[in-house]
Parts: sequence; structure tokens; C-alpha cells
Amino acid sequence: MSDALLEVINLKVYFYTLSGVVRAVDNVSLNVLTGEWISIVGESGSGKSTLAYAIAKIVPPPGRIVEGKVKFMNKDLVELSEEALRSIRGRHIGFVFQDPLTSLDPLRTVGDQLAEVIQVHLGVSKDEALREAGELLELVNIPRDRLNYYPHQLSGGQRQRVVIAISIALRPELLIADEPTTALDVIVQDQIMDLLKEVQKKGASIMLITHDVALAAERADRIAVMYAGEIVEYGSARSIINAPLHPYTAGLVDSVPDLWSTKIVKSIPGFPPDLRNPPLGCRFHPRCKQALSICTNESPSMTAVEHNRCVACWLYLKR
Amino acid sequence: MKALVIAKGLKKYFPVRRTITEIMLMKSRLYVRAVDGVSLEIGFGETLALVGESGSGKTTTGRMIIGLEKPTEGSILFEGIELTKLSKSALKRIRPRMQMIFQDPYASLDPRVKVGDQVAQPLIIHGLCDADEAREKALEILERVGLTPPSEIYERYPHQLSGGQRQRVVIARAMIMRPKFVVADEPVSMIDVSLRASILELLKEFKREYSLSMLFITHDLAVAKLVADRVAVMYLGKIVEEGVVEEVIYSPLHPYTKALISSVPTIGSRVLEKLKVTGEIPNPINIPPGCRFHTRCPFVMDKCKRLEAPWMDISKGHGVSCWLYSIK
Amino acid sequence: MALFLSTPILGFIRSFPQPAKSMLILGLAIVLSTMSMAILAPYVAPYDPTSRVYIEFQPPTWSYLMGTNHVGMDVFSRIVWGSRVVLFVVAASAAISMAFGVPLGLISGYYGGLVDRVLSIIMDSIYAFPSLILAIAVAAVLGPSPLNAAISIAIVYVPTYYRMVRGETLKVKQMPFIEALIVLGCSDATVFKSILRNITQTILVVFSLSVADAILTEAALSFLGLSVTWPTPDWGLDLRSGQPHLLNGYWWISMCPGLMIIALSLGFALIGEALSDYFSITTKV
Repeated sequence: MSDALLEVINLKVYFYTLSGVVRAVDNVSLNVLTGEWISIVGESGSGKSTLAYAIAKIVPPPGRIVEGKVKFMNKDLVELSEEALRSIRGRHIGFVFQDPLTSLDPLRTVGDQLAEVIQVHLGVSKDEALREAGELLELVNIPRDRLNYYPHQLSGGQRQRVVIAISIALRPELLIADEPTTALDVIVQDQIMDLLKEVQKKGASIMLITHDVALAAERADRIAVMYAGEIVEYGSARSIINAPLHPYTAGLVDSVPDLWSTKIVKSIPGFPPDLRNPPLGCRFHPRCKQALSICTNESPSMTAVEHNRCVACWLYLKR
Repeated sequence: MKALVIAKGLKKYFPVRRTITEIMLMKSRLYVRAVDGVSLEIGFGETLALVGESGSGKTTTGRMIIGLEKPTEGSILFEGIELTKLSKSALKRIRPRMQMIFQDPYASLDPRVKVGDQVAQPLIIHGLCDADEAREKALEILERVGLTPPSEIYERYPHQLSGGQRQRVVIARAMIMRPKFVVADEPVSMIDVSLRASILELLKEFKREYSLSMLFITHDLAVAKLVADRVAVMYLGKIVEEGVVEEVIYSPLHPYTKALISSVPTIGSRVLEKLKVTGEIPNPINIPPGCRFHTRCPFVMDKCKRLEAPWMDISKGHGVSCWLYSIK
Repeated sequence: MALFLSTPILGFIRSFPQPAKSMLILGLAIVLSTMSMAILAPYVAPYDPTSRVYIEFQPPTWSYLMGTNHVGMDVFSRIVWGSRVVLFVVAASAAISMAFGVPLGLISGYYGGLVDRVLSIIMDSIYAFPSLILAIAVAAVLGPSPLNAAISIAIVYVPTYYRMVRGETLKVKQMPFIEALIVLGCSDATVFKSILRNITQTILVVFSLSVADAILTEAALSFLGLSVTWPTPDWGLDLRSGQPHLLNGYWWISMCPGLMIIALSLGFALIGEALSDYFSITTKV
């Protein structure tokens, strides 16, 4: 039984905009175990990226963490000072974001950027660090001689691999990847996902954030499904996909076309709510075919349904 | 008349800007060979999916066919008329019969004009009816695409609609003139996954009702499978394989197609074994000699590095350009 | 007045975030009161501005709010009537500048090619010229009159509008909705209308800010006697007329017009800045 590496408890992240308060992440709780791959799936407006930013504590203004805890290695990241956070970011939590071009410094070579991270955190000499950097590049399937290349001289896939190399340089316990392959083609995406799997095999936990349901499920141990700022269901990847409980999850799975089957795909009617004024009660109820009257005025809380399965839906709560 | 749209030998080369030193040293001009010899045919009421990754040239091909880019070389026949030789006014007269649906639903609509007015606009531009009639027809088609109540939606501005609704407006605008042919450039890739199916269903309904021919451009094979009759796979500016959609997906011939299909993440069980391919798409300025895929192909032979394979029809309508299939 | 306070405009102003809102309100207050002053001049000005009404060099009192000048004319009345000249020259020059700058910028941005190159070179040359010197040179050639002053100022600001409109056109031209219009078979005129509709925000901001600048240029021209001629009231001219007497302690003759020039310019600048803030915020969303 592994302990929870990361525990998010009742997290609320709100954006205070001119037109109202956007409740982007509204009372989200979840945990990540050591050495597991958990995928957070959600569509636009689900709050999944905001969740990642909140864990990294880089929520852009006008957003703010309003409530909640993020427990990591016995510390609450929300309470920590910026200085203390700096020693955790990179060293214990690695981040990979969507656009590798903006994650890398265009004016310095790839080798320099890798080496710097190693030097600063591990205090070794520049030569030592460069040697390590070379090894890291090979780990991500980039020839060692690219150490002297600048980011713009590499392809998109290679750049993203460099970003991953930097993020695992210090062997963090947790790697958070927010839509890391959206800008890349399908073949390269597959290669990058394989790479992340290798990282997981070496003992790290992976938190993949994506809107691609199939991508989320393929290699994950567990999946958490987000809708309109809340987690509606989570559990083992296979069981969520094969037997979704929450109507939204079911609708989502039904809407994903599959190359290999002739299943009929169906859209979920309606559209996601405005997070400044989310519906009362369960946020999905206006689009839910199985909505009960209680769904329209009371929000269901997350309950465990079986071992390793939780849902937030009145269909499964004893009332 | 054989097919509605016949494109032959389409090429689009974009010149690369040279620096002063390069001009003075008289270095030869480099070109981005975005589209390097593409021929295709789209029959009446048929949907051809053009599938490829970014950099494959699929979008540029679509833009040439619809007239937004001038081909460097090649011909495009629409209803037997040679599009590349048409004058501006003649082209304008053809416009009601061939339309385009763009990828970004927000950017395809004028943010300053009411949504309904934009849908009615094509009718007014081409003088097909007066303002009142145009408004009537716009309301009709707004209802048809599922935007109800149409009179309310008519008055809204694009930013007041959701992404899926905006895309329906774009479709309504494209369809209001009852075109015979539509180029759809990644019409659902910027729409939430759970909303895509209904938009694709809408396109299929129009296809049936109007006997619409469509060139459906996408990087997502699974989406192509849902809407298309035939699919053409593009790589680095050329079509490498083409055929009926189920055949290409279940019995792919070209190694690139195999790699593509096997890389698509799936929630069900995988039918095709994963074909691992190394490297990435080369820069279209520096296209490899011989077969363009040879630098990444696990089955590469000596011949592949020197010569491009000819097009071979393997079975009815299923063709490929690959030395593995050429009897030579 | 009641019509002005009607909801849409008030709602628009209300929706501004601070500090833009205060800037906008302050700017509007200054500009609108000056405009009212100009329109209602016969009723607001207590005396005839061009004739001697009292003794010379009278400091500000209750009956002569800004005192009298070296000829005995009431400075306040001159300020009130002078606002007409200022606003006329500035409005005329803005209209002329826009009439040339905007369409040329559109054509340049949309068609590109040789036309764009040639126009850009011409506009850049005018732009590179120090604005005041150019205005003075043109006005000197044309001869002193408010209309000629307006023309010379207009010439100075045509490149500003041209560049702005050209830049925005280049940006908007790439957007899919313009391409959609082309695919739908629109004429170029329709496309231009659509582009224009989408760059009105920028034009508005450029307008406010360049008018703020034009006021200073106009003052400079009339200071040099290149606009109206004495005894027609005009702020720049009055400023000049009071200059020789400053050392004798008669500050109000120059200061009052001077302050008005600054105030009006500031008013327009505040409006321009507020609008610029507001639009960049809305485009971010």
C-alpha cells in the first residue's frame, strides 16, 4: 500500500475578473500515490490546467487560491513561502507545459540550460553537470551532440523532450505534465508518452493533464474526470473507461470516436456552464438525462463506491 | 463529367527570404515545398478526407482548391472549369457553389457583426435575394443547424455564443447558398470532444440533403473515419496512400500510414500492432531525396534513398506510393 | 443633457475599471466643458473679446475673472471665444488627417506590393520630420489663417493615422473571418468595411491622443502668428501677447491661455489613455 505522495484537499481557485468571479477550481480533492500515473481529463473550462498551476503555485492573477491545502512531503504547499517553494519545484516536483518553445530560453544552448538546473540544485561543477546533461539527453533519445544546439534548431518533439529532460534532471518524485503533446503530431506524441512511461518505471509519479480521453486512459493507472471546476469521478483507468458511473463520464466516453470499433459516437447535448454563474446543485444537471430533482438544488459530494472508485453523483449516494 | 473536383499535379512552393549576405553570395533560393505534386478527385456527393500531420501540406492543398492560395503549378477543375485561369469576377460567380469551413470558430466570424447578419450576408453579396428574404432564409438555416430559438440567436454577437454554437453558425453561413462542394479545414479540432459528434453529424446530414461533396482536412484519423468515404494520407507535401476509409485503416499499406494508425491512442483494444518509427517530419525546405519517408522508415531499402516510388493501384481504388509494393 | 445621461453611454463609462474610469471622467469633463464653452460663447463670455472694456492690466477680480490684458480686453472673454478657434482648427485638422491617413493605410495594408512600399516611404519621411518644424514650414508657405493652420497640422498627423491603420489592417487581414469573406465572394469594398469596423477602437485612441498633441501644435502656430491674426482671440496668440509683460508682473495675460492649452490637451490625452486601457483589457479577454 503506497502512501499518498500528493494530497489536494478542498482546493478552491477563483479568478476575480471584471465580469464576475470565475470559480475555476471549486472544492477539488484528490491524491496521487507514489509511482503511479494519474491522468486528469477534462474539456475546456473544466479547471484541469488551473489545478496544475495551483499545485505549482503559479496561478496567474486575477486568480487566487482561496481555500484548501496541497500536501506534499508533509508540507502544505499553499502555506509555504516562495523561497521554500523554490527548493521543492524542480527538485521534487517537475513540470512540463504545453508549449516547449516558451519553456526554453531561446538564447542559451540546450546543454547550458540542462546543466544549470543540475548545478544550481546539486552544487556540482560545470563539467560534471554537462556530463549529466549529456546522459539525460540520451535518456530522452536525443543524440548527445545536440548539447550545443539552441532550442530553435531542434524540432518540436525534440524540444519537448528537452523540457522533459530538464524536468527529470533532479529525479523529482512527481512530474506534472499539462497537455504536453497537444502541439505535436500523433507519432511523436506516442514517443513522448512512452518516454513518460519510462520515467514512471524509474519510480516517479506522473500527473498527466489532457482533454484527450484516449490519451489519458492508455497508460494511466488512475483517471480523474473534471467538469466545470469539480472532480466528478475518479478511479482506475480501465474501470472508468469500461464502466463509467457519472453521466458526464459516460457521455464523454461515448463521444470519443475509436478507430477500431464501429461504435456510434454521440455528443453530450448543451454546453459547459459559465463558471461565473454555475448552475445550482450539480453543475452537470442541465445536460444530464438522468437528473433527479435533488440534482437541481444540492451539490453531491464525492463518495467511495467500490474499492478505488469515487463518484460525485446523486445516483450513487444514499439519501 | 467524371468527378466534381479534379486536381492535378498541385504544387505550392513558398520562397524563403534570403538575408543580404545570401543574396550577395548568390546562393540559390530555397523554397518551402509545402505541396509537391498532389492529384486528387472528388466525386459527386463524396467526402474525401485529407489526413496528415502539421507540415504535411494538407491545409495548403485545401486552400489552393478553394482559391485562397495560388498554386505554383498544377490545375484544378471544378465542374469542368479550370479554376486557376479564371478572372476575379468569374471566380466570384462560382463562389456560391464552393464554400469553406474554417478551423477556428471564433476567428472565422466578424466580432463586430451580428451572427444572423453574417449568415445572411452571402445571399446579399451575390444578389440572390433582397434583405428581408435573406433574413428569412438565415433564420431557417439557423434553426436547421440546431441553434434555437433562431430569432434570438440571430441578434447575438459571436462572443456571446459558445465554441460549438459558433461553429454551427459558420456551417450555416457556408451552407446557406446550397453549395455543391465544401472544403472543411479541421472543423472540429478546436471544439470540445464531447461536442464534436453532433457537429460531424450535422455535416453528414447536409451531405445527404444537398448531395454535398466535401474535402475534409484533418489530422485525426478517427474523425476522418466518421465522416469520409475515402481518405488520402499526406506526408511532406505528397499523397502516400489513398483508398476507401475502412480499407486504409484496417489494411494500411504505406509504412507511414501504419505508423500513424498505430500511434493513435485508443480506449478500446488495439487491432493493429504498433509500428515504431523514429525521428520526426523533416523540414519542408530540406526534403530528403528519393522517397520522402525513407529517413524514418523501418523498411527502408537502398532504392528508397534514391528514387521516389511510382503510384500503384493495389486493389480497387486503394493505391500507394511505396517501393514495397512496386514490382520492379 | 438628460439625453447624454441616458443609460448606454453611462453604462459604458461605468464598465471602465479604475484608474481608467477616473481618467475618462476627468478628461470628458474638461473636453465637454470646453466644447460647451465654445458653442455657447455668446452667452458665456461676459464681454466683447475684441474691444477695450476696462483699464489695462487689471488683475483678476470678480467682474473680470481673468483680468484684462495690455489693451484692456477681458481675458476671460477672450479665452471663451478663443476656444472656438482652437477647437475648429484641431477638429478640421483631425478630419483632414483621417480622410487621407485612414484610407491610404487600409489600401497599403491590404494590397501591399509597390503601392505599399511607395506610400510607406513617403509617410515615413513626413513622420521623421520634427512635427512642429514641419507645421511651421507649411503654414508659413500657405499664409496665416486658421484653415491653413489646420491644413499644416493635418499634414503632420496623416502618417500617424496611416501607420496605425496599416498595422492594424495587416493584423486583421490574416484573420480567418476576412478570408471567409473572400471565400464567400465579397468585393474588396465589403472587406474594407469589415476591416474598418474592427479597427475603430484603435482609430479612436489614435484620434484622442493625436488631438491632444495637435492642440499644442496649434498653440505653437498661433503663438508664431501663423494662425489667426490680432485681435481675433486665440489662446496661443494671447499667450504671445502677454509675453512682453510678464516681467512686469502681469502674469494672468499669458498664464490663463497657457493653462487652458495644457488643460484641454490633458483632457484629450486622458480620454485617449483611458480608452487605450479599456480596449487592451477587453481584447485580452
